[in-house]
Amino acid sequence: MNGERDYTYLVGRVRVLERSLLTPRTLDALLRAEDLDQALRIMAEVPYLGEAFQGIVPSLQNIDKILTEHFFGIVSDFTKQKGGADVAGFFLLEFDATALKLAVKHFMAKKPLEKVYPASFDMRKIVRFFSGEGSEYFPEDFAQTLREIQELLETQPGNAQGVEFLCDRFFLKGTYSLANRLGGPLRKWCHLYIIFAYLRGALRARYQERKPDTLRLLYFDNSLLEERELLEFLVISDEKIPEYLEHLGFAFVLPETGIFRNDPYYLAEIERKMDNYLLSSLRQYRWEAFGPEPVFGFLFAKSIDVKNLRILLKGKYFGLEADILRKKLRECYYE
Amino acid sequence: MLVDGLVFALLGSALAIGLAGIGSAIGVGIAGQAGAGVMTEDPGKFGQVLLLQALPGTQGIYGLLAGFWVLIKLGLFGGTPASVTVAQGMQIMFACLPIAIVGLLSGIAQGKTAAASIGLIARRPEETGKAIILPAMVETYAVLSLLATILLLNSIKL
Repeated sequence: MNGERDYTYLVGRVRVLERSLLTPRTLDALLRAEDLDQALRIMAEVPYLGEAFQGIVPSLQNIDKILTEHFFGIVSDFTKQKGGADVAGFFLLEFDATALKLAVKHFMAKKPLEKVYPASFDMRKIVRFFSGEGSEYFPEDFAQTLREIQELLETQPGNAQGVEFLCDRFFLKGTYSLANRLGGPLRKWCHLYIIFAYLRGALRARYQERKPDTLRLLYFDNSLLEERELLEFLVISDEKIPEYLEHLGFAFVLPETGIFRNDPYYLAEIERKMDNYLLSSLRQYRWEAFGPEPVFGFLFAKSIDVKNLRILLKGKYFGLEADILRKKLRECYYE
Repeated sequence: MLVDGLVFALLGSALAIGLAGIGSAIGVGIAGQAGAGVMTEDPGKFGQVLLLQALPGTQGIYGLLAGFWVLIKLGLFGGTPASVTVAQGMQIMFACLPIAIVGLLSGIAQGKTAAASIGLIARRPEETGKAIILPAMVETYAVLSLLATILLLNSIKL
């Protein structure tokens, strides 16, 4: 772990960039916006973020591109700064896992790669690897994941969910080793994130009636959750889920005490509660002047903002009611 | 024996200048890192950041002042050093310790507070006054230690 003063420069930058984070007031204004154009005009006023929204053509693709590139720009810049490689590494890993998923899905669909999703590697290298067009070099952990995906696709060519789980496992394994490097409160936070990711994956797999062998692809050996504990989610009844979550110590993620419903809206609500819990556990460090926590907290808050903006702007694009959108939104880092 | 006394006195002067200077250098460095971070995103904050970064630099000046006071007292600038016994030399060295130790620690502490204050002005530029007062509070103890060193040095008869 780096010394706490190694993050002084990044904390200074974060103090300025925090002004670009969404506040409940901005969210309310966006919810009240009559249409997407008005929402984009509100976004154009947000410091350090607004410039990207000025004069854009209001399409879903453009909005997605702006949000992704804005966040990736901050993450990749932070990784180059002193102390930033580990603290922003979590978010870079997330970009890498998403880019990997997209590249493999393109290869599976035999579609040419028209858009490149930002990541620490070139997505085209992945496509070349799977199509056998060239021998590319990848770091060992990444190469291992690619070989596993290749083996899976050889035996089950259409198993997109399996591919997704393998990519997620690469991300979670990376997070697990990152947790030890970060140490302190962020180590615990990363562990909590991994457990939540497992719960999310297991509950989604349960809803989609996946086989244990598919869910097993998400698992790697760790001290946080045993494989049998994860697979248990696929076999117990809906009524037993709250009790089982209670046994694991995570019953608080349920929107209603003691009640579990196996439907996508309820699962989305659980995921919202998890995001809020993860954000609130970082909120206590936001005013600290030193250490990695305020930097990490800002980056996570930014990722939640991106999620909120996608929900809001897409909702406005499709003309959804403000009340429906409000229920989907995550909490803000600053009240 | 005369030389031995002078060695202790000069050691005291060196400690005052050196330790207080180190404290200031670290403090200014910490505040500078935070300031560089803020200015990366908002170059318009240069004036306020510079003021806050300079605050931990005063300990080094106090240490230098105390060190020169000792050298003047020893008559080293005149070319003929005063006769200093071991006891007098040690008295001078101990008299220098307040500014040496407090200068070192308060310089670092003030640097940390200045870095936090730089964060404050980054978010709330209108609170610059309050942001300066917070690290300035740490200054009190550096001033008190300098005062203690000067009073102690003045009480030593050569």
